[in-house]
Amino acid sequence: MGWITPVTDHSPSDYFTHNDMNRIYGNLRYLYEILSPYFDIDPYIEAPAASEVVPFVTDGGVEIGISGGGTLGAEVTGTWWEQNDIYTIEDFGELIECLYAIARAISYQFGQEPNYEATAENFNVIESLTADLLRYANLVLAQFNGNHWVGDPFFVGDDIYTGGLYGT
Amino acid sequence: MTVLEQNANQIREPFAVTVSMTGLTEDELTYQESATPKLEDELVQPYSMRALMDFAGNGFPLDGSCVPYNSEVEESEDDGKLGYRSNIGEGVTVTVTATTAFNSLAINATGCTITYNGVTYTGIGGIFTISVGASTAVLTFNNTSADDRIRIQYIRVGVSLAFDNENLTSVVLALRSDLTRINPTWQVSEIEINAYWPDDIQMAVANISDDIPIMYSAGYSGDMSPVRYFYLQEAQVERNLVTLKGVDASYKMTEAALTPAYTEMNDSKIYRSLYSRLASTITGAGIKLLSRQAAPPAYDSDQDFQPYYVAGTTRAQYVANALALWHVDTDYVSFYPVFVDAGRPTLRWSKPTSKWTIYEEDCTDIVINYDQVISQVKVPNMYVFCDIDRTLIEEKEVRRNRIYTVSLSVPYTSFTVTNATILESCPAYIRFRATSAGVCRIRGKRIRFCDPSENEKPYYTTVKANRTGIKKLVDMEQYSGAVEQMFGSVGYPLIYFGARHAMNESEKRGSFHWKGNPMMQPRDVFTFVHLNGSTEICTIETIELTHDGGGTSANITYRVGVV
Repeated sequence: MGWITPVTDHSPSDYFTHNDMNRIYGNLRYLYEILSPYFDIDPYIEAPAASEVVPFVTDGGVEIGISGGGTLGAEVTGTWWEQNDIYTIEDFGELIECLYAIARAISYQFGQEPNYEATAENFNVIESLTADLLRYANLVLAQFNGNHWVGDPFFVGDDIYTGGLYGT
Repeated sequence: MTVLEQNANQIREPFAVTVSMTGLTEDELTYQESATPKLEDELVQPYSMRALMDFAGNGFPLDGSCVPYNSEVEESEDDGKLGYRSNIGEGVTVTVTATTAFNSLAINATGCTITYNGVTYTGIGGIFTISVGASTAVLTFNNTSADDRIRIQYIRVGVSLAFDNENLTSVVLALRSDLTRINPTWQVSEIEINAYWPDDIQMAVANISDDIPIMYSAGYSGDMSPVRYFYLQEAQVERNLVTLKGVDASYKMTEAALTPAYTEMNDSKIYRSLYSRLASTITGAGIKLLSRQAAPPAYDSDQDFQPYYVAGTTRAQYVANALALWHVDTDYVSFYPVFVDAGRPTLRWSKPTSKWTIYEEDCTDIVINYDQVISQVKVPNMYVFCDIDRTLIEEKEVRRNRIYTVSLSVPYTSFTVTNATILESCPAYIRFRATSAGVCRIRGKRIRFCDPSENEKPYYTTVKANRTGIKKLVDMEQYSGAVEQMFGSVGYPLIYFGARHAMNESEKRGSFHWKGNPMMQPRDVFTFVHLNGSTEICTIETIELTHDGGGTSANITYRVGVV
């Protein structure tokens, strides 16, 4: 499953379907796919709320798992949520941990933090974070692919990348 | 869209009106289901269904009403319940069994029709009533959507009905108070509902019991009136037309006697004490106050105690008298005890301010009467007190362990009974259990009513108002029972202030026909804007709110002033 543009303008009168949730999970999977060759995505660091939740289950560096309606395996085109599913507090914890795990891997600081509420505001935050993570991930990956590696990524502003990449 | 916004328009959107009635018995049922649910806890408690982040159907709303499923949260009134939630598209057959035959089942289930004995019930809004007349029923829940699930909240013995604009023929609310100063009576509010019900519920309704709560609300989505609670008095079904009549909870006060009582109240806390007594008189009749203002403050540090005597009457009459006479509005004290039921039992004491604005240009059938012009009030000027020493009331031959009740021809308090345990006492009687055979000597302190010269005959003070025109003398003795309740050194200032209050207002009354507002209720104060731009502050005495033919209108009676 490729990247699907996140929906960041949910309103309180909207209904959230399994397709919406699959978009979020697919985008998280997409982020994992593009980042995992370069970064260790640590599932255990600084869980925001849920306890004993392992959002990314690594198996020889191949498999990534988000439990819930289905397990996110190596197959990128999977469907994680179906109409017959009911989202649980554990699922929510895993989703939030996934966001944090990816952010930690690329040293991205969230401006807004997601919570466990089924509100338009919260899902706008969650989907905005996935969009931010993709934008930042692309900048970071550009550094890895640069001609001259000069050190850790250095990100100082919204779209201004000054890490010394592409130096000649 | 709010009621006030819509009422400001020439043409108003029709109100949404909802009425429901659920009467469940405690009969125990056992359940056996034919299918494995997606989620389930129990089917007994009528707790609300917990709104979950459920992808079935159209998914879940993002308005914050839904929560993720948490298996550690158990069903409760606060957290709601799971009930029975099928897999999407699936039906289920539930076999219900009781130890004895039951007349009908009340079921709350969405996303389905129910088939019983070859008859399919559609219900309304997920509410079903199914006549059974057996101790077992096999109910087939037919899923009405391939991509949604059946959600069963409860299956109980009883009756459950719910109506909205689609099936209501008419709803008439008669919300009442009595703002008269002379011989007030308690007014019970009523509701009458006429509606269509799709299923045959004749047998269920024929066996329905009284006092089942009827819940009513009207308004617009997001601005619905608070639910008003009435209690079923009469139910009829002719074919599919249902007629329900109910009264508000205050009817219980009309049936509940108030035994005489003698007490002493701290002067500085007299209004607190009276307010507390008023509250306990109401709640003692079995009425649950949905709103109660905190008690008024103490007014000074005076530690004098004043005797207070309550004559035997009904609780309704006591409350009616108190609301008419207890109002005090001076530079030092403002005490406006008001109890309104009208389906939302509310008790307060602070002086109300204008809550609504009604324009005369929006009204028809306007009638203004001048009535009850009170210019003089004749007040019995009496004290109540009890003797310092106990005196012998009666010597009674008794047998051991027998219970005796002795009625008293004159009131006493602070009883002692030799060789006995007092079980209950009030100024009108004493009940005791003899601990040994022989003679029990009943002693008590005599309660006396007299004027300061102690000749035990009241003299009267006439309070006059400086006014011209029609005059009317109100003799407070017309308050049969009321005067006795109020008098004494405590009663004296109360009647005095109450009487002054009566003279200063409530002589002008009127009525009009208006578009109506389901939030309004008796004793609400409103600003009446007349055609010439002048305004009057008025108090609503009664509202008859009628929803009929898709529209709503109200007949309102009022009195000028904050009554």
